[in-house]
Amino acid sequence: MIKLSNVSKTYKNGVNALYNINLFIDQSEFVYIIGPTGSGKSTLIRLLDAEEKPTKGNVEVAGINVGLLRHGKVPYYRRHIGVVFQDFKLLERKTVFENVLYALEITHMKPLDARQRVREVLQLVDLSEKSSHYPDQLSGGQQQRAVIARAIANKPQILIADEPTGNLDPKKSGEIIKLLEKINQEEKTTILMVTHDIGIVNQFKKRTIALEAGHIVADMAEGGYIQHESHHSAV
Amino acid sequence: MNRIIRPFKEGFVGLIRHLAMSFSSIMAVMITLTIVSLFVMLTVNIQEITQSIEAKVQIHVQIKNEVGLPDIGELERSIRAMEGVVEVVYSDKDKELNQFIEAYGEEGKIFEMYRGEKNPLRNAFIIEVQDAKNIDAISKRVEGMDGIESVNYGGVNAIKLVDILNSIRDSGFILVGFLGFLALFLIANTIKMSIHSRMHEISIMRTIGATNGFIRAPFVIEGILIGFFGAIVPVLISIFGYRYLYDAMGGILLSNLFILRPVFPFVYYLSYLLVLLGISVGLFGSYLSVTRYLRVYR
Repeated sequence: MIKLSNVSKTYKNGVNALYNINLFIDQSEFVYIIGPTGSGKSTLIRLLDAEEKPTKGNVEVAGINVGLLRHGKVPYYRRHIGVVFQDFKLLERKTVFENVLYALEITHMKPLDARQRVREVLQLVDLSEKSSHYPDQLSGGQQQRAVIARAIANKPQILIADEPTGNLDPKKSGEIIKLLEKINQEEKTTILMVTHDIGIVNQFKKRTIALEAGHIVADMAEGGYIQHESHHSAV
Repeated sequence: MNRIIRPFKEGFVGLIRHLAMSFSSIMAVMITLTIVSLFVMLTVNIQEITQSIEAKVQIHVQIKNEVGLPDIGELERSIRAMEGVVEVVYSDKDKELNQFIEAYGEEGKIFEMYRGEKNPLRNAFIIEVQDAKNIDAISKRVEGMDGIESVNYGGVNAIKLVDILNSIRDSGFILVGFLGFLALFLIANTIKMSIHSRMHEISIMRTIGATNGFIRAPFVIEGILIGFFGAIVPVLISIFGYRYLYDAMGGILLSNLFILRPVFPFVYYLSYLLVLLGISVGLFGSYLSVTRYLRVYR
């Protein structure tokens, strides 16, 4: 589903964000990416999201070589992946319902089908009652659930969540993880979640990939504990 | 169908949600188009007046009595050959007397006694010139020809007025050009500001997977709507203002010599022009501004 082969990324300002990354994530896996600030987590997401191109190597998502996508094709690619951001990125001038609907309108889905799908996903994230609210009328957890609803509306094969619990208290964070687990199980969506919340990683055990200074320093199967100083190379 | 309706709906909603920004853009379009409208009215009427004056300005040439008919024909040919001469009409002394008598109406009848041998008038040419500016030069050349007694032309003051009107129009053109440029800059800036305030929104749309065309369409429609609404007041000013002025002045400026352009269909053409200009400015302004921001995001 996601395959990175010898991927390096150096930004124009000379910052080396990722070194020779090799990574394979299978369909309907749920994977955490952890690591301190500046470890390359965000760069990894930007590569998967086609915001950046790798300096070296191949980024392949659902059979598409993301680095080779032309500017005009990027929007179509993005419809295959849903992205959940820490800062939500909801359209402030649209209601929750309209925000989710927008993700479907861009695909030119038939209006009736689109509205039906919006109701479905809002039900799934338990936000049906807030559908006519504007983002600033929602709590952080509700906004995050609205973003998740928008991200999965298109039935993406992959859902990338960048610190989805970063702005939430532990109780709300747990709810979000449970929601992501539900999506992972019910919709068979591959989930890649970036976090620095070790508490969550240890509470909801998943395959966990640790990044540090642009290297993968650990890739642990579900059930293992994180050892911070481990530097054995990943497969 | 949804593909066509959606951008219109979104564009309209955008217009209403940014009411203050939309209002300032509409005002900028309105002011510019009103200035354009006034300028078009001025130009068209100066042209109309110039033409009506020029049509009335002609050179009256008196031919010496001793010049015979064959030589008159020769003179006519050489005047006709001059540059800037549109028409030469020969009017013999009988015709001249008829016109003279007619011009005086009832009182002119006392001149009937001069008919025939006693006619003191001379044979004449009436010359029409293409451009009032050349009237003096042509008169001088004709005056210098053999067999010409005298040359007269009326409307010297009228010609001076045409010159003044033309220079008013020219300096008006510079002023309008300057104001128009200023207003265009204002419009482009307002649209840019309105889009800048939505950069965040545009980046989110890109992130979700909206194509540039999809993102752009509502903004462009919004621009078109701004242009259209901005044109409404100038159109009303043009139609009713011009009609009011025309009626108030009786269709002329000061004297019968200066006939104004009739209200219809002129104001309709002017209205089409204003609406078209408003929409074009809105369309290009918003299209260019959004495209500039869309290029930033991959």
